[in-house]
Amino acid sequence: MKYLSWLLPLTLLAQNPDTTPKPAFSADELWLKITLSGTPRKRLSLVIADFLTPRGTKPETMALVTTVQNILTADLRYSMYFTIEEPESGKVYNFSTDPKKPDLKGWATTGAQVLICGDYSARKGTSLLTMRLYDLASSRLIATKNYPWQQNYRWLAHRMADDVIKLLTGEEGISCTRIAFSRALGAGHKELTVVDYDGAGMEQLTSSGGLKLFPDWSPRGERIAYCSYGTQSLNIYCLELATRRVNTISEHKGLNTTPSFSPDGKMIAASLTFEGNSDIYLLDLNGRIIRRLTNHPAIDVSPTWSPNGRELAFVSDRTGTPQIYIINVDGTDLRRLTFSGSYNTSPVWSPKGDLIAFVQRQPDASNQICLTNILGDTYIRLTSQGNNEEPSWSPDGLHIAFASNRTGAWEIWTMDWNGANQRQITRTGGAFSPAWSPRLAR
Amino acid sequence: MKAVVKFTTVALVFTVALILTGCPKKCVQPVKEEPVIVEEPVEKEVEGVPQRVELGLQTIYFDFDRSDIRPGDAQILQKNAENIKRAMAAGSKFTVTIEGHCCPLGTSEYNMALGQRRAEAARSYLVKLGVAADVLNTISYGEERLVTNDPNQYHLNRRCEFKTAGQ
Repeated sequence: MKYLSWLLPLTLLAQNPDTTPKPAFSADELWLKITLSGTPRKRLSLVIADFLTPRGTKPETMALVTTVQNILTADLRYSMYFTIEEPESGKVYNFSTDPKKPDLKGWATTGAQVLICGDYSARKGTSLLTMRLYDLASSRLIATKNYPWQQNYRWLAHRMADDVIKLLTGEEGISCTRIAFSRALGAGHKELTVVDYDGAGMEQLTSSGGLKLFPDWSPRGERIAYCSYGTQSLNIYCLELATRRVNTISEHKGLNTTPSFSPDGKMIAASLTFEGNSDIYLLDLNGRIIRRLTNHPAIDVSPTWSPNGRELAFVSDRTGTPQIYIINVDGTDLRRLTFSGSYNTSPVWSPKGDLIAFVQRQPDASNQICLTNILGDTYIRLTSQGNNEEPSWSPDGLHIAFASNRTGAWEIWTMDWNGANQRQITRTGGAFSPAWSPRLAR
Repeated sequence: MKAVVKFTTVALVFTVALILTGCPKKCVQPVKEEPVIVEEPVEKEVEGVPQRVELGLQTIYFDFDRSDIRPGDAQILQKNAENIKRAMAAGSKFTVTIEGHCCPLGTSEYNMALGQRRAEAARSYLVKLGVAADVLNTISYGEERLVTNDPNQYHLNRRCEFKTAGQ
């Protein structure tokens, strides 16, 4: 039972005294309920041979080639699809990877099913990194792929990793993604900032001052919607990443807040208050109102789309406490999703469609990230240290970015969808509202 | 009382200055140069930005995740309403922006909406007490403008502030 370790976080089941008692269920039952969409259960075993450089290669180039190999290894480990065989500490695998006569029998003794080799070559001014994948069970070459050496070697490695994932699993990886967030630079000052999903390459996107809040990527990654204050309102703007141009989307009186792009990128769901109190509206990209989805004196905020664009989840306190609801995109069939706990907010619908991550206030007054199936009949808690808020799914639905203050400062973190492998991404402090990008071309 | 008198003085001086200079609408006279009001801490004027006006309006506070006005705060709102109405009766031109704020115990997106509802609750209360609705604006800052990061003092963040600006 290789994936038993994945189930460990399920033992952190949220215990909330003021909830209606539920029948106890076994981890297996919960597993079945939570994983209907099918996360890979059996991990393919890989071994990554040290990348080769020809005699006479400059030491700095050799170091970069090793770095590419390390980034590729980290990406593949992160992906959740593979286990990576490694020699005992202090030892190295020294089987040949010579393209003409690789020692595949030798590599097979590592226990791995697939061997990844890399060769750096420089001829006539063009440098190439060649990747080869071998199936060790059948001793056959699976694929060869050439990568022109580029300045941005990190993204070369990320592209290699996503190619390996695609070749071996048929799935799209997330190595070529970034995380946008709202970074505090002083009192009343937050700017949009973006960082690679692995924490490298942090870059500030805006610098016009004021508060920039609640970023959300368009589905193709060409723009980011966010909120910022006008003179008498919180407005929705859109940053075009290619030109760094900012377009105004919505600037009605009061709040124009929590924008969320529809899966086809043609609409933005948002919470507006100009008609008296916060309700959910659908806007086109020029800010024209297509439809008012809710009409209730309670707070309605934080819309999030189902991946097929037919439903939205959002937060409403119409029963007296904030809970998560689902409504059809035409405004019909409103139903309540969360019934446990007295403060459930910040829903985000998984790209696979079957799960919704959200934030639940705990009996100890901390906020923690939880996961529910869309039937709402069971949920698990994924975090426990400090406060953990503002979840955002990776485009493959296998990871969640979030903001945590467990180190004493607010930082962006990521974790596997089941709460495993929580990793700190930023080390700047004042990092809020992470928004995981779609796959980006770079 | 004192504040209202002071405000009336400022407004008067400002009006007189406008009449004397025949200044067009866009041009803003540097009020701070008038000797009469030297002791008045009027904020340094920036062109196009309305000056801060002091009506002595007091901040009110809320319980966690609530936006209903508590009895003690109702008395504060009563006083605020009186001050606003008195200044209006004296002919002052101003607007009051009610800023709703929350504490970081909640989550930021929901708090943004909650702060707005707090501001709207305070606004409705003032209107019921006879304050003209059109001088009252509302905005929420959610948990973006905390007055304290001390968890023992978080209740001080759950508030509505009343900011007055002359026109």
